[in-house]
Amino acid sequence: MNCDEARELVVRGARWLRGRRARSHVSGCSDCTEWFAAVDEMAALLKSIPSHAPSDELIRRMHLAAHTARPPQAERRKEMKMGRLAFYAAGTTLAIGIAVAILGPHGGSIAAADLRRAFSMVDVVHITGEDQTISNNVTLPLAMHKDKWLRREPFAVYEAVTPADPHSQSKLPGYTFAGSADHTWWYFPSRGNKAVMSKGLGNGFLDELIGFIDPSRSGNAAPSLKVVGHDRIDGRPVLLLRTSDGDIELAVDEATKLTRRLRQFQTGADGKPVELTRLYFAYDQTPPAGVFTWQPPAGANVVDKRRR
Amino acid sequence: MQGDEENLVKGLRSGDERAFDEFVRQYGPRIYNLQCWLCGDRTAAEDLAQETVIAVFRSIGAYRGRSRLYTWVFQVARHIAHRYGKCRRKDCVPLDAASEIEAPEDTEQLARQALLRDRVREALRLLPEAQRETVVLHYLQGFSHAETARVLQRPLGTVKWQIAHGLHALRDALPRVGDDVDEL
Repeated sequence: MNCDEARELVVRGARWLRGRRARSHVSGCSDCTEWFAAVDEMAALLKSIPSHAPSDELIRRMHLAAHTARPPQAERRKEMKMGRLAFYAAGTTLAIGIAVAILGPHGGSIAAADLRRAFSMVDVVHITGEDQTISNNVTLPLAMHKDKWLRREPFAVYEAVTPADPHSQSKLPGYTFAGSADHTWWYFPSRGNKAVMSKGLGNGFLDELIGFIDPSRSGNAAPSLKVVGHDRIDGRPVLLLRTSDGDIELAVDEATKLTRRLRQFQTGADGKPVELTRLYFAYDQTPPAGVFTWQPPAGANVVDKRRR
Repeated sequence: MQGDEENLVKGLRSGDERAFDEFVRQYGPRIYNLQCWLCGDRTAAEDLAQETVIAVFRSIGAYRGRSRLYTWVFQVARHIAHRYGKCRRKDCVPLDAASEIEAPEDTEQLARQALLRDRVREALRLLPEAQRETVVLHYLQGFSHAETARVLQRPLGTVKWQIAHGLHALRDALPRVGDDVDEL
């Protein structure tokens, strides 16, 4: 028994004959003894390390995030259902390329690149100022607007040019969104994508929708799908895909590869499917000007870099 | 699930403001500490910690109670840290990763501890992800071997072996990020 084998057996807690042999080897081998001593030394070192303590400001921001992320009571149940629907809407998009390529004699594969081409770019920007920290994180991109953003109040964004601010470099933040009670607008600026969806989805579950833009980032497994037929929406041919349990049906535009409609079903008391929800998706629409209004703080250096 | 934790989860699911405050009070510092160790960047960890808190609130309905709440919270945090890590590797300008040394306390020992913590944080970033996660979970987050294995969904023996290797790798990495550890 060599040293590597003995060490591994001892660490893994091997028992009986092999374990006894491994422990016997280790106890009689100076190299192995030194190896385990190094492990113990590092373990002791790590146990002595103090934790990172958050600042009072961070705790305050967490409390604020907690309260503003919490949807109103009346919307919570709807958003739980919508969240599941959003999950399917985005997750199935990832599976479309595979499902249709394998199962779809009707129209070929739908690649992630095709999905991305469906979106167009907007500028998302940030501002100089005392607490204008920009984050690459997808849900809190602008500290200035954080409370407004999470409460889904109207706002607009501008770009700052602060060399000292690492976030003012060429790399744009991730995804942002804003919305009103009836509509949700999604912007994905960092990769030249914008999706504007009307009517219906909640403000959360960005993780799932990241799959529209960058499938490698999605942490959610797409449900299994099968192509069940064709339909037309606004005169355009769409593929109909259903999840394996039959609860969710997606209508995907055959040319643009965008999800145009999502329907949710449930089996009724008589055993027949009952349609619970029907959502329509529209893309590249301009939000009403009144949705986004915002006043920069006094003294902020604001540069309007929106594309005209 | 224990009683207090069960009440907390119930409160979060029902949207109770007090439950949200209690969660931040109890778990906020741990989440921040965890993100510091996972991503190795205290500035980024602040945003990741916020994002984790929001993600927990939004997906609390997915928590089934089959494990400790913090185990599930860790998985959420880990997913967020992974996404950050991919973003950093792909196309994001890295933030200044220089060690942030806290203002030293009155005693030299506290200052040395803070320095050590910063060095360990930097050195952990040099480890393979699997080893880093096991070391962070077990030694820096207080998970047992079994809990670590459960959270990471790896066999217990594998976790123990990854920890041992991780500690050795950390020992080799520490001199590369600063003064010899023996001098601390």
